[in-house]
Amino acid sequence: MTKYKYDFIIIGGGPNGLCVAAYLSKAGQKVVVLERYFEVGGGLATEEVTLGGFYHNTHCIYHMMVDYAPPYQDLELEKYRCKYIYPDLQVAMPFPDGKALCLYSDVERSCDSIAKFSAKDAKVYREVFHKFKLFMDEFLAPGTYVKPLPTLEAVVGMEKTEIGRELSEYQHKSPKDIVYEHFENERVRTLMLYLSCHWGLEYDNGGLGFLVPLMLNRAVNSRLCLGGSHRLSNSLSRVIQEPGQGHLRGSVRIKRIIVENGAAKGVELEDGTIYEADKAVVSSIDPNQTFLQMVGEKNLSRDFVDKVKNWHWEKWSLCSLHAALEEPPNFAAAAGNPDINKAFMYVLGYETPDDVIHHFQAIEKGEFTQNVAFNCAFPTVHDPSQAPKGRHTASMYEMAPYNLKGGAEKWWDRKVREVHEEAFLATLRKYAPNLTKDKVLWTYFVAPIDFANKYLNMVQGSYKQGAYEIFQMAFNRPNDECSVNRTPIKNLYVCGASVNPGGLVTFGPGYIAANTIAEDFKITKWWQEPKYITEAIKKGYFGEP
Amino acid sequence: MADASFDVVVIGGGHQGLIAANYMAKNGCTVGLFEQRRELGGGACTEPRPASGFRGNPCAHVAGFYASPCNQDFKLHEKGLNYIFPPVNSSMVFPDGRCIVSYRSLIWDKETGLMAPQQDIVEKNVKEVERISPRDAEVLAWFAQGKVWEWGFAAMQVLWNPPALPGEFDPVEALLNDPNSGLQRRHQFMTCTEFVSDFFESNELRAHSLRMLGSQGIYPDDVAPLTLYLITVPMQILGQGGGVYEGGTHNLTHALQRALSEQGGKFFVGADVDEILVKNGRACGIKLADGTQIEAKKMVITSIVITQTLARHLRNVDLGPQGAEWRRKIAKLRVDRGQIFWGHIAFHELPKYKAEAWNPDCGQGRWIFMGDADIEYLDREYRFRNQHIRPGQWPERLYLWEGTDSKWDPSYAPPGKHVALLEEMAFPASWRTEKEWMQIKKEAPDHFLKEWQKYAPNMTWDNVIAANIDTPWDIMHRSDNFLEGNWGLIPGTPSQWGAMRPIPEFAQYQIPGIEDFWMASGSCHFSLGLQGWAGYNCYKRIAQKLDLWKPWEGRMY
Repeated sequence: MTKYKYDFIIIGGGPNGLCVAAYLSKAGQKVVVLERYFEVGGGLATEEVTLGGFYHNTHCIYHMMVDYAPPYQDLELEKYRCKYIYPDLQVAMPFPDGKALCLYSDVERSCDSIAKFSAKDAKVYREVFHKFKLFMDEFLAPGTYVKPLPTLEAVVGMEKTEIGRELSEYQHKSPKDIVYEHFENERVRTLMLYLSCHWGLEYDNGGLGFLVPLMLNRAVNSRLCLGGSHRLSNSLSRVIQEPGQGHLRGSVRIKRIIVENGAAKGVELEDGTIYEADKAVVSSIDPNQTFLQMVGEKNLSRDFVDKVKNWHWEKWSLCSLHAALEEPPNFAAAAGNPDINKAFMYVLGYETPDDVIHHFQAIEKGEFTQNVAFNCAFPTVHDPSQAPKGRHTASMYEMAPYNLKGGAEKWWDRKVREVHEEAFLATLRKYAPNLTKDKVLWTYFVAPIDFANKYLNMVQGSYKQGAYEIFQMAFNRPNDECSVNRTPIKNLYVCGASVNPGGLVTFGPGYIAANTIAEDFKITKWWQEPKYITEAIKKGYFGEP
Repeated sequence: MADASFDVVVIGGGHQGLIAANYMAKNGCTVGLFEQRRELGGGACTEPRPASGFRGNPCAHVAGFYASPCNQDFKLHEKGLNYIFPPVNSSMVFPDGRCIVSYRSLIWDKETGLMAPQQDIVEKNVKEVERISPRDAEVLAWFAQGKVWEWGFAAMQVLWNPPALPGEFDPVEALLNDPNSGLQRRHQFMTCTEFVSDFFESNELRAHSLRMLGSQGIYPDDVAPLTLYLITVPMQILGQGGGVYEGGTHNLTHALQRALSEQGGKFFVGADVDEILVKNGRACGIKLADGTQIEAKKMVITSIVITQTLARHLRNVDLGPQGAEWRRKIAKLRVDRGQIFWGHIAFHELPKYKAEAWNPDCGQGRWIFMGDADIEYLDREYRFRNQHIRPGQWPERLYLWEGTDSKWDPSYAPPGKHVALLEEMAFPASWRTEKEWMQIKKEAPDHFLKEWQKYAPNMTWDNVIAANIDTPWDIMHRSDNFLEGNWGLIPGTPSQWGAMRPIPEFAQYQIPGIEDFWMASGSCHFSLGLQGWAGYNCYKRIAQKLDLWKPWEGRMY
């Protein structure tokens, strides 16, 4: 039987797995990343799924923590050819009457756009923009990269600072309440509600209200990875594979994590190959696979098994359509504001907050809305290298239920797919009338079931490995025993999107896990904590400094 | 002052470039490899097609690479490169419900790379043919007694070595000089139809052979290099085919890249090389499109197609008195073979072939060819393919090739679902407009399914989840290397073969007058799918010249 020996075995080569591997291998540890898919990167995928030469970022396209996530600086990713474009016009929401609501990276320009709908909302937006930026700088961003405190301590801690107190006020409110309290105009409310919720917050549920400021702040801080999202994973891979450092292995099928006397010793593959871990096994995949399938219930307490089994997948997944286009979109609304054709994210198909709410209600029932509404991007407008010369790509992402009425299997029905695809294109044409059928060269439809089939850890299309719910966040993500990366199995660590603080390529779980592991194994940290995090810790936001 | 410096700079991160890079790294050189595209791999690429959760290989499928010494030289199986050898090598199914099934008769050892023939299986294959044509079974039995091994050995020697030097015979040419070889001089001037008709009497065996030769980029009316005949007829029918790549052809890329990284080599994607820098007659580096300059202390190796090398990378280099003539010849290379429809259909239920009544194993073929035994039609159809396929206009019959790797590799499709790769012959990309190709591409699945149903009636639209059939237009846009959508960079026609590929002056992987510049490119001898011949053979010439590591000494090639 073939045996390999490493210090650390990382299960899963998504952003967090690669992040941990990069930090540890740069620290001189012998590391191997074992990935089931043939390509590492997970959601950092750029693929030619329509026509030759057309690159599609089939999962993640809006990179939203480039300005804060420590790995970019620590690992010098720019040196490894990972570069970003930061489009000025971040979000555009055109309406059928030719008007459009625009959010720019520049707050004043956003306010000018909002003022066309409501002067009061423009004023409020300016205020909350600065307030949310402060929340972000002081608390929310550093909080993404520090270990979570037990819930009670966290609550007590928050009450001790002014920002903490302000944020706790948001915490208990639902996104809808927050948006309605702040904004009066229907269209402004529509956009703000969508931006607050679409990454996974329920519009009418309190408890995670502190994420609304984060979502609205991040909505104007998205960046596009030059050459496609996969370039980020490529640069991480190259860091890991620097001479004498870590190894990557793809198309690997893991049978089990070897546990002896309550400690992880390595992993065994389906073909019998053994990878021994001298120090630890680090899993970046979902708790279900890590614990129930790979560790096995017999190695875990009943109580812990129950916790894992009670894990909630996300209430909605994504249905996406990727298209190869003959020409770039020309939005009807661009007649009034030429910037509209150069936005990064478009939100199309919603006109009132009720449209957004009805969408959520339809999802709950496993249904589609009458008009398909979604966000979309045309990366080639900003980075022509992602398509053949003069040609363009579009990626549309609709919130959609995994369980359609009649069962998830319904997503297999080619008719369902074709009809839904037509609906996507009809919405797009409503706003960008030049994109007639003949201008759409080819399409690629990805239903929630397709997400789940491609990546086993996106169960039921859960692209964050699990829902954002109050009992699945912070110290409870994935549960109170694992949220600081350690698990009931000695030398088994977790570091994926199902771990605090969550998904969406923030590198939070991976960065924190690298720190936890370095501390536990007395590995000298070659990296330095970013100043903004150190400052936040000093101020006592995350417990006694 | 260069922005970076390596001993060896490699242009192009397809498998040929990666192979050359690995051998140079093995010699202790620092290596920097520069790829224009988003991802290494060239034709060794795998994508989630035609729907997410399925896998498809948009450029190549056959795993002939198992025969490459790189497997052992770089322990590629430890780095994720594994093969599957389905027990049924190929099937040819006929509309009347009969079929020819060839079982795999070579067993490969992954540690040594050696192949052990299974004589009992060879005989089983002869018996299968006997059911169709007792006379042709006798011919195959004669092959099986020795000729097929002798010819196969000679063909492998030709493919895994640089072309013969002027005045030398290559091992296949040597067969022609041997009165007992079973081959005569006239064979090298025969068209495919003549060649297969010379050996086989039945149109079934002839049609099967001709369709397989189509997959080598040669049509019934073409004269092909003799070596290509020998590796196709009768080897394939006797079961000496390759395998498939576990998990997809892109695993070949990853294994080679990891081998390179683990030897200290560096690779760069999205790095568009604009120029090869030549000073005092010596290749000394490259310049990227973004202006970055990279120094090559020892050599520059390119794996790019020769047309681009001359027209772009060496556009500012004086190639001497014959330069203009060379450029003219290269610009005139033949490019009208090697274009195909090649794509994927995802479906619920495996095809149920009518011919399973004749032989239940026919649906288990690694390759399944479908067509009737009408060689006149096949000849006419492929000769005039260009005229026969237009938007709204398709030939009355197709000759499909099916490969469904999800049958033996669960990673290709979700549980219970399947994905097939289908092939038919096409023509150069520029012979239709983009709009026409899009229309043809939209129509292709319907025509493919209609044809498929003649042989497997359950392959209707009801069974289909999604389809995406690539045309030469797609392939051409994937990489500038695939001229006109050609999968072998340039076709392997007799005038562009061996010591004449791409032109005699460049056939030894060098351009006269430029020192330290090597071409590990498929436009030199030889490229056909993912075999790695050019990369390996180029390295052989480099090693001979510079007296480097010669791992081939003491082994077959």
